[in-house]
Amino acid sequence: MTIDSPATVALGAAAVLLATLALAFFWDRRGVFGRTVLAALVVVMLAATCAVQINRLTVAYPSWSALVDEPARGASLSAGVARRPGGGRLLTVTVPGRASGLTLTMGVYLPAAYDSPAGANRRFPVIEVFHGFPGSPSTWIRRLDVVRHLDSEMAAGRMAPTVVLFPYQTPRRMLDTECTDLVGGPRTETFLTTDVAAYAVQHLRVRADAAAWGLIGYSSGGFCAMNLALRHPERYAAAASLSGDSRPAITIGDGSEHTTNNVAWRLRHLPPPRVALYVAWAADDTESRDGSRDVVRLARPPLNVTAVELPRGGHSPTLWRRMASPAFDWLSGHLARSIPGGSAS
Amino acid sequence: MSLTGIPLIVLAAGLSVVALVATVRTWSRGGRRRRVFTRTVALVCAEVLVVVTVGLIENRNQTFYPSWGDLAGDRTEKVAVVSSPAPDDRRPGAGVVVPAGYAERPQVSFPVIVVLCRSAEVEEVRAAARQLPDVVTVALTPRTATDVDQLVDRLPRLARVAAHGRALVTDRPHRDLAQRLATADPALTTVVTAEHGWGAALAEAADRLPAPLVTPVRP
Repeated sequence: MTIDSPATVALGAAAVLLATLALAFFWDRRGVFGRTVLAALVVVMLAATCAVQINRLTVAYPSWSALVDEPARGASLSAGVARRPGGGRLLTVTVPGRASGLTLTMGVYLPAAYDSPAGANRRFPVIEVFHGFPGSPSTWIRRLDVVRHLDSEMAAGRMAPTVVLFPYQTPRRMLDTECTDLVGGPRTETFLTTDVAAYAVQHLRVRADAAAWGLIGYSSGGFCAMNLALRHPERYAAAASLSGDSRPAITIGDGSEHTTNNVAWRLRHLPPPRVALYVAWAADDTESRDGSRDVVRLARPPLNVTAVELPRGGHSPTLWRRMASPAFDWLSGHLARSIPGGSAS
Repeated sequence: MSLTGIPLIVLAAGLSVVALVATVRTWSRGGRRRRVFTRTVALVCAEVLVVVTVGLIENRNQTFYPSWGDLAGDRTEKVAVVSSPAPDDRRPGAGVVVPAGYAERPQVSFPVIVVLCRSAEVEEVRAAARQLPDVVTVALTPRTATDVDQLVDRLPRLARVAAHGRALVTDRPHRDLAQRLATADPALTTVVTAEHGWGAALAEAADRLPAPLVTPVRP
């Protein structure tokens, strides 16, 4: 039984019911200690069942083993994802972070064209995909069904064949990094901008230049995408934010959450770079709405912003499933095409 | 009643308190069997109501699901293709160089290279542009920035061009003009100065442009 199947939640509910029944039945037959143990059992079962259901929505722990394994040695991200006819394939790799010191699991989507004779000697554009917090690359793969979106957009010709990377954004599942280099903590910004790129250029047939690199993310991953594109215009040409805020939800340690790691502050105080942003949000999700509207309002040329406000949808996987294909299409239209180029090791 | 409204939270919290009080008050009533039954039912009701109350409060704070419809999660993805591209098989306008396969792909919009050159070189540029894959090329000899802007504005009527993905290729005399145009236009992808012949410069610009794509879906 997988950790995020409905059957697991049903089993949890049954366990709560049994524990409650046991408490009712044994109350008159046990002393204070026995009653306390039974009451505690009910509370623990109830909390565990709620946790399993919340994890079904966020997929922060994609498997039972993830409860003990940190993202450095995450299990296969492609488990249970069947390759569709004419679709791309999903790999799981480990990225050794030479610059950041982090070593993390990453999913890699290779488009069908990557394996075709026509694409055999080409280098492809790249999109790096960020998850929210709590979350994992599996949130995109399982909850948002990203492989189906990519397959269908590329098959329809709305997306060019693109290599898509799904890195973890944290070495500890319950540590929110917001893709920054935390003072005295993990350096995920360096990992995502330097180590992931170095790995991809060395091991995959991808273009190395910024014109062909884009970012996308939902929720805090949306903030990540905007923030990293604005901080590293020499590495990225475009970024898409789905329900992202304009500031990180954490303390970084040097106060930069108010300045250089704050998108709104950056747009107010620093010259904007020549990158393209796609900013999408639902109007009934107040926090990301206000943050996203700030970004749109503060953007100045040569920063190029495309804004999409949906009237409703909240801050939920349902909304992001709906937003995913249009955002990927937009990204592909802003990234340089594949070019002839040598083989990867 | 709104999913994120105070009334629903007050109702859920009130019912939780009622359920907890009822649980305590009925705890020892009735015979042995009846007691187990009422205790279990009362406790389960209290558990469900407490969880629902906490969930409603958290949902209000984080606006995960602002409405009942969002919670029900309209499973069907309502992604509409706006301005659905009726196949556009018009012939390109005069002076526009289109790539091989242009006519065979009526759904696709192409990125554009605008070339700034001396009038004597226009034919040479067009000849070089015919070798380029997957890009529409126009060449002109501009006197002012307005000449270029007017051509760019007219482009959608001349050929199937993408809304994004436009490059400027310029000779040395027009380089300053090209830089001024680039500064004013955030939609411009790249500027290439032809130093070693038109062919190399055009190929370099094409490589920095997106692939030709079908009109994107909109959310």
